[in-house]
Amino acid sequence: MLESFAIGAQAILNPLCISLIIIGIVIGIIFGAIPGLSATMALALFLPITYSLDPIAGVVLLVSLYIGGISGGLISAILTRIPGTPSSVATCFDGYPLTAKGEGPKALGVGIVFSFIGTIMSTVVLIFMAPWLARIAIKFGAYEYFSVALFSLTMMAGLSGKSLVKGLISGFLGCVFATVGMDSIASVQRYTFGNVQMASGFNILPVLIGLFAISEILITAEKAKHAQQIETIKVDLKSIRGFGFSLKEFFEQKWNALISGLIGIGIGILPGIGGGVANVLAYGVIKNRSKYPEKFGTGIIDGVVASETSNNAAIGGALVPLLSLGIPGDTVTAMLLGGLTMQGISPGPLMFKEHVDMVYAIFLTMIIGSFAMLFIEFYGLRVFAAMLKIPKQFLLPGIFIFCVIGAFGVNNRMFDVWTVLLFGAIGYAFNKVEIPAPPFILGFLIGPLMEINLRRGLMFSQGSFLPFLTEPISALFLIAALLVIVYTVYGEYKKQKSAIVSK
Amino acid sequence: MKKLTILLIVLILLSIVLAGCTNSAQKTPEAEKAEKAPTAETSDELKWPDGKTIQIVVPFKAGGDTDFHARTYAKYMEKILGAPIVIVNVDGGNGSVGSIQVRDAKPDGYTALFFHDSMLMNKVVGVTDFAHEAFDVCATGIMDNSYIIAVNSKSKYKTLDDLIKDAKENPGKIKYASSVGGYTYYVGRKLEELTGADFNIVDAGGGADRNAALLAQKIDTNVNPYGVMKPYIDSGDFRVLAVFSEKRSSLFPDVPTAKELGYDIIAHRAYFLAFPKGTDQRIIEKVANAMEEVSKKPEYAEDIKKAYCVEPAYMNTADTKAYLDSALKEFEDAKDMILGK
Repeated sequence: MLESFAIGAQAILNPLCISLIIIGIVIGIIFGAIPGLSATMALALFLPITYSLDPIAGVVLLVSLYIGGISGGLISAILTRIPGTPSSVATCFDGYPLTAKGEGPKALGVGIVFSFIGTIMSTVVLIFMAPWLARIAIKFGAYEYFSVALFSLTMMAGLSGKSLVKGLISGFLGCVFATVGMDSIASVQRYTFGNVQMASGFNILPVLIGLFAISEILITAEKAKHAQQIETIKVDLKSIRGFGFSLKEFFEQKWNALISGLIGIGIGILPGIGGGVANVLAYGVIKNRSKYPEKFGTGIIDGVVASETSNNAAIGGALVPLLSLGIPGDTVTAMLLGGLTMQGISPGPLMFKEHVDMVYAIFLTMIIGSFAMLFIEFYGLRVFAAMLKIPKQFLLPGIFIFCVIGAFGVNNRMFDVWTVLLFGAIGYAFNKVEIPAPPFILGFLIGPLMEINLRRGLMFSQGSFLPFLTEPISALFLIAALLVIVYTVYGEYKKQKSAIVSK
Repeated sequence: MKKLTILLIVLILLSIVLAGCTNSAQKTPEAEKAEKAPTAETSDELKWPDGKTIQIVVPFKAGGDTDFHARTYAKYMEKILGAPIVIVNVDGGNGSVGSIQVRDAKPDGYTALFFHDSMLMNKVVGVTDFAHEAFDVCATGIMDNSYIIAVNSKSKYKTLDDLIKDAKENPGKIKYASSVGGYTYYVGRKLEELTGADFNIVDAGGGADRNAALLAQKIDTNVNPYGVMKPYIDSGDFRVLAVFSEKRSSLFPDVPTAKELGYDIIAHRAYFLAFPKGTDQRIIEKVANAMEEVSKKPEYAEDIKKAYCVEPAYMNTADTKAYLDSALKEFEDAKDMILGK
């Protein structure tokens, strides 16, 4: 192992690779931080450039962009309640309320440090257990995926806020909108109205930008019409010390971080689910096991810790199937795979034997990259927080422009721009009738996964539902899902009963 | 220090914005305005490409096989044509969204489409209402005829005969992975028709997902290009039973063809370049010649061998058209089979 590290170190400890790591992290953070641009886009943009670099340098750049891009999403999530990437949806829930209370820098500090911890945790797991974990991951077939998806959907309850019913409405609408386009098994066109653009369905990024960014801009604009002046959040930059939180607060979060990290790694390993679900799932779990779940959403650091640890932990997780099986878990790792293939390296069972230099270069990039991210964001913290001083009437139109550019950049077509505007209107309507948007995103991501695996499973079993119940891993998740549902319904029942009594 | 950091960030931001601007400025006129002005040059001399950027649309995401082949071609063609080539990824509708974008683009030679047989399949299954006849087809750069059928090494099937025999004796029990309407689905149905075997054709995702499923023995057999399964063949996890090509591949000569085993099935996929209808024939000829030149370069052969285990195979404009015509006819004749009826 040490020897392998030496080979990896030899490959990347040169001025070119080190500067590529720093450039990658900085650009990644910027792409992550700007709503509309995402880690996926950063990789897509830089992928062609890596073809002209040597294989190791190219992959070092891509991995750095990945780490920076996932972490950068926390900045806009915390400061403006607009998630920069799908991975930081849950960061908004407590991050923004903290900012509203004037504790923005603290939220940022927590986010940054736990992003770092998440990345490092997952890197350690990746280094020591990748081939072994990959062998477990392939045990997950259609039945197991279906059950995991169903279990993930039960987390909608935790995201619903005040009204469970409204949360469910939102979640199921998410599932419905995800069915638009060609179905992924028989290419049947659903809700496309004969339009070819619709045939590819709605992309997650425009949907996310619309629901969160555009609606937020509309709401702020509306408020501004009625108020004389839009309130600017006050932030005292001079009093920021270190990362803005105490050592005691840090240690209070150790279990939260550990559990969130493990959830992130686990979700990351399962191809097709990814960081977009990990953060939401971790938030739900941490909230459920908390002694004070009612405080979630009001601005406590626990929520930020859960989201940011898990989404960065998903990076190392996603690299497990990528490197040891050649399976990309999400759009970002698909780009990475493309980058590797282009260089004539096909990840798979022999990767750890034939391309030791590449594998360990990636590991070291993750470690060095995490530290680079920590330092860059530490110094950047004050810059980010200072963004709050920009009056919203200037900041939000800027964000709007990036949202549109970003949407176009997803696929180089105007359809995605219209999608952003459509979902902006939906998000605005949701806000008016107090329907929470996060369950929508969960439904949108998980719904298709559940459908395709249900149908695949039924193809495998030739129409029998029994294997879903008899396969052990599948059964385990179904039972867990059932328990969460019972627990949630019971909690809701108790709440309503006590409400009646108090009347 | 602090100021320096801010300055740096601002600079990078600015450069990104600028890069974005130039990019979109290039794209919008071609991509968005679908006006079909006849721009075929009337003067005798061809002023193309004139150093201007040529845009090749890949109708899939970056990082896949189509993207790889387009980019590798572009890398060598740039030098021959003396003009920069950019690859634009327009994903969606199994390649139909990007195809339509090029079909409706100005036929000035600066926008082209890089696609493969799926264009025909899209028409047959009804995703689109057009195929290659809606374009001015240029030439084929690569013919992937490395489709193999493989099983897990731990399985009891040593030969293709073993597998077919078992599928006959246990109808509907042997899981053959493919997606309905996909090319390998068609190959599976053809195999059934030819041999009287009865597979349970199941959907198990794309190439990489199917590798994992075969590794975990959740499926029994899988057909895909050799390059997709190569890592597992090299590691000894998979056993290759046959290749569906006319003759054995020089890259893996030990694998028998299905034909020599008595199953006359040929599978292939042509990656071709096409321009919008009405493009100057001289442009098409020039590009076709450039593609031929690339296909003869040993560095190029090495690139595609390393990545996807395929050999260069150039087909000129007429041959490509004839190939696509006959492939389309073949698919249309087998429409019910492809649709899983």
